[in-house]
Amino acid sequence: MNLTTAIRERVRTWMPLEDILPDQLPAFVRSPAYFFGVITLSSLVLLIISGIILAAFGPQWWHVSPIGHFVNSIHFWCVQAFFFSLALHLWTEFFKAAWRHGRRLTWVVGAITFVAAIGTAFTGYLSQTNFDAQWIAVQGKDGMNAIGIGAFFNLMNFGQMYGFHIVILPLFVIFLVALHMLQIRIRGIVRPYAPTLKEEDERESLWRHARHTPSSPGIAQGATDQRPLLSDQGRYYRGLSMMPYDLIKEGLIAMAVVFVLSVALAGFFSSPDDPPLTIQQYAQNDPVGFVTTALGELNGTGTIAQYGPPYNNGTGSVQYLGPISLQKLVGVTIPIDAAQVYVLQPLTIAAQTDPSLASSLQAFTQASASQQAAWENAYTTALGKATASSGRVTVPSGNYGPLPAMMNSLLSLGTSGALDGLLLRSKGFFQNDFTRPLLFLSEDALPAKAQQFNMLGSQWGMMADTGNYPGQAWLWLYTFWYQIPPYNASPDGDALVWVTMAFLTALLVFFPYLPYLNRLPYYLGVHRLIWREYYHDVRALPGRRRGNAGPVIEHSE
Amino acid sequence: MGVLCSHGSQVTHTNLLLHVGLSSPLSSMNSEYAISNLMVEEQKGNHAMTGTTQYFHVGFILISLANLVVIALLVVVFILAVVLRRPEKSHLSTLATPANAETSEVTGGKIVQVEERP
Repeated sequence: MNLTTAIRERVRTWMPLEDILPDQLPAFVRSPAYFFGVITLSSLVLLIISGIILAAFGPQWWHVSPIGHFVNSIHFWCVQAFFFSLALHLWTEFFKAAWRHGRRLTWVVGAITFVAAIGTAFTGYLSQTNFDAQWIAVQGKDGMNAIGIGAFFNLMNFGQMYGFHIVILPLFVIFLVALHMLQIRIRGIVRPYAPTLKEEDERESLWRHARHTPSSPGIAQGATDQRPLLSDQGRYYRGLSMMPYDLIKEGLIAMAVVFVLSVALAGFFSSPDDPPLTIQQYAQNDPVGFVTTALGELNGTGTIAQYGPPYNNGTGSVQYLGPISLQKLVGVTIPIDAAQVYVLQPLTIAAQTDPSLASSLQAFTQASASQQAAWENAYTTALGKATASSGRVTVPSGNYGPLPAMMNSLLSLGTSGALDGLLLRSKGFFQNDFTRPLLFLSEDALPAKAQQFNMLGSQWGMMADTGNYPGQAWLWLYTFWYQIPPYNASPDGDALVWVTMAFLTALLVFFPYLPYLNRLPYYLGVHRLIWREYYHDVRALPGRRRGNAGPVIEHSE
Repeated sequence: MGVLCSHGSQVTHTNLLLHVGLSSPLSSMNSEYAISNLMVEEQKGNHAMTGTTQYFHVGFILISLANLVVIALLVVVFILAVVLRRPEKSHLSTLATPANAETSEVTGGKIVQVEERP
């Protein structure tokens, strides 16, 4: 067998150029409900172009350059335009039941594209290197960790998220979109529902089982098999009036419209960019809060210290699905010893040039565990009455051992900005993983700031953005579950939300395969509005009344 | 110019672009000027959008006004898309004429003779 010949003949049969680049369409395509696919595609093209410009200058460029900020604003509004048109495309294709007549895989690919696009946008929000990115990372991590994904897909690892956003996921989306378009062009646009379900079922059985190859190689017509070919649009559109159409022109017009719109929105509204919160700001603005958080990491009572996988072997934030914890199954992949990372290691470095701190540190580390615990408990209680002045925290007199000296030294590291750098240090020179500082800030400082923006989880935070900008409105359903029982009261809430969303996503993707349910659009009847001229014309046929299938002139093809 | 001052190092660059544009006798045609004007507008827009956030709060539903506007627009555009028509196509019949036997409607392998739209 000549593989080249086989592939060439199959491509020729499946994808005639007249179908790939059509110059006519059925006349029932006269509703704006058919616009949204091409608008989505145009938005994607502009997203890619603006994204390439942003990537070429690096992730910090748009923070320091007005031109960069403007390009970022165009990128931001293109994202909004993309999801706006994508949602409308999804709705309209649903009500048209566009999976009929052998198009179920076209729907599946389109729905997977929608999910992949959400992932691409999500990693984009994580790559903004501003407060929004910080907050989404620490808020989203629990959901990822609850089902074990967080062990490998770390939202706080900027380098990983940036790579996913600018390379891996866009390539995946582009591949899916290309496949989706190819499927549409090979099969053609789905016909309106037949006037009766009986006729629709006949049409469905004919076209669902279309042949992939002609009975005789290279000969599409006159074959003995009466089933139509996969790409047989001449036969599929029989009985329908065709009208002139310019695919390329429509695409260019849509792209121009989206471009003008996104530039105008970028010019008038800019894009959100609230600066990131630093540990230095936290230490300066809330010294007592900073010391309290650090002490929690030291004595093991902090959220991160007790978190569990993927950071440590704690149990504080481990979630279960019934008897199974995917989080525990995956295990510790991003090890963080909270006491060492946030307190003892930074102080050890600082002690190299501070003999007083060195002796305090030595006194603490050489004390027994029970002595350490006694000092920590006493100091924790005393912090409730602490005051701060001149960069030092003062507590009422008591037996705290070396802790006041240690914590004030750590506070000095924090207020000077040194701790920001110390938590980022790695074995190598370069750093792009912000897990450790973000986890520290996630204890207290980031939630406090997020609450000011109404971005907490209980406030539909995942779909919100800073200021008056639209956020990730497409995450409304994901965010919705966190507001209602049992999700908002369960210790396994994140895992339950993920399972629910996985089920609903599977329902969306495989909806065409669900018997009875896949007829929902027919009974909802929106298609009668979209194709009302078609049904008017069919009803006007001689002897044909509504719901009456005949009369027909029958002859086999 | 006050709106530019909140952006620190951006001020110099934006002012420079503005200056270059205004100093040209063809400033209105100068693309750099146009871009700088857009960026000046962008800074103003930034301030308008970073003001006090407006929220819609009913029961457990808490949604920013911006997200609510987006969702409301989605619904409105969807309804318009379903109801409206492309006017240039309104005269066309959706069904083929009976004279053209090659374009008769396929229904379950059978051909239905159709008529032109009245």
